[in-house]
Parts: sequence; structure tokens; C-alpha cells
Amino acid sequence: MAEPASPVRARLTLRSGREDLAAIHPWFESIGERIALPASALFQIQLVLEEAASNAALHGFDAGGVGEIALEVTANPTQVIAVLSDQGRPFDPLTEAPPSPPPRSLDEAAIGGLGIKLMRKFASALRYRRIGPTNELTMIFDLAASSKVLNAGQSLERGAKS
Amino acid sequence: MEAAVPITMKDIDGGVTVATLLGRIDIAGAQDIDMPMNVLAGSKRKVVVDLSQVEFLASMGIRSIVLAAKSIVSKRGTCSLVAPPGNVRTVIDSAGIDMIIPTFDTLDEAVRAASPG
Repeated sequence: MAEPASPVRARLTLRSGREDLAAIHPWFESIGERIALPASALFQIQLVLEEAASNAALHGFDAGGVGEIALEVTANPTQVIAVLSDQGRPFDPLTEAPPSPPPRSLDEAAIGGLGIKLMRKFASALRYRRIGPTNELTMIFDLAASSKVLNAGQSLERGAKS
Repeated sequence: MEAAVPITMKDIDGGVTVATLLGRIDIAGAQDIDMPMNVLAGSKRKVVVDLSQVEFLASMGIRSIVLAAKSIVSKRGTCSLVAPPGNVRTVIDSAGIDMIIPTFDTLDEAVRAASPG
């Protein structure tokens, strides 16, 4: 009799520098292995986590200043919930970059806001709140929904090796 | 093993330069390609960016590619993307980049488009 696997819980504390942000990738990869996350969902969740953490690092702290960013993940084979928190300046990525139409030309392509656009695309839900001195961004990934994105992505894959 | 610098460049026939990005173009990878892409954009007119060996692409990396493409096209050059693997293709499409930078399946197609005849 297969027992339902208990959720994986993990916490990572980072300093807001580029070397530390690179630690998200191997950390979440090991979580993904424990819940047998498909490669495409792993890719997309890692992307959202890195975009969220780099936004927090870029906008929450003074240039050259380093703050602490915490990432807590609860994961099971149907859902991954990640909560990013920091004590930086109030920064709500969801209101800073409202949804926008895709650019029509290279000339008008905006250079900012791309990370948040990708976060909206690949997360099932995003919620921000400020609690006292803390920014808290909750990112929810419904893995059934994410596999739909996967299929859409694969149908576009032509001649790419993988 | 990933290359220390996640980009290589090669001039081929027809005045075309192929820039091949490698491995993880995440926050750190994007910072590593910023300068080479900038130099490329300042010195070459027909640029093909080969993405076939990219394992991961975040917004910072896209930003670096788009900035280079803007600069090249503003000087009447051409810039295109080639062979992004499935997950990377999904990111490019989601960002709307495939609509503003021509994206080809093979290097041959991209080179032919950059250097017709």
C-alpha cells in the first residue's frame, strides 16, 4: 500500500549578493528530486524563485548593501508553495510591474519588468504582503497546471535537442 | 562541466558572427555575458545568437540579449536567435521575445537569413 508522501519542507537563507542567489538552483533541485518533479516544472519553478529573489535583492536594499533573504518551500507532488521574505524596503513586485501587453517591436521592447512577467506566467498564484518590517511574497505552483505549460512548451519545440 | 565564461564567438562566412551561449544564463551568467554581448553589439552587424546549449535562461539574460539586438538593429544590422531548447523556448515565447527578434530552428536558416545569397 502506497502511503501518501509527507510534504518536503525546506528553508534557505541567502545574502542578497549574486553568489548567494546562485545557491537557489542546487537547493531547489534537491527538493525537486525528492518529490519527483518533472524537468519542465523544475525549470519553471527555479526561474520564478530566482526572479523573485533577484527582484528582492535589487529593489529591497541600497546599492552595494547586502541584506538577508529567506526562502521557505513546502512541496509535494501536486503543489509547491514557496515563501520569500526579506527585511528590505517595502517592495511589492505585483504593483511595481502591472501586467502589460507583449512588445510589438524591438524599439518599444521594455528592458524592465520582464522578470515579473515570467513570474506571472509560470506561477499559479502570487501574493504579496508587508508585515511590519518584512516583505513576504508567496508563490504557489499547482503542478497539474504547470504540466499544461510544459505541453504547450513542448509543442513549440522543433528540432531542439533535449 | 560548464564553461567559465558562458559565451563563445565565431566569425563565419558572409560576415556573420555566431555567438553561442552556454549553460545557465541566470543572474550570474547574465552578468558574465553582458560585456561580451555589448562588445559584439558594438562591433558586428550580422549576429546569430545560438541558444542550443543553454540550460537555463532568466530575465537578466534575456535583457542582455535584447539590449544587444536593439543596438545592432539600430545600426541597420541583423540579430537572430537559434534553436532554443524546449524550456528556454517557452521562456522566450512567454516574454514575447520571439515576436521581436527572429527565432530560427537551425543555424543554417539563421545564417541564410542574415546573409542571403
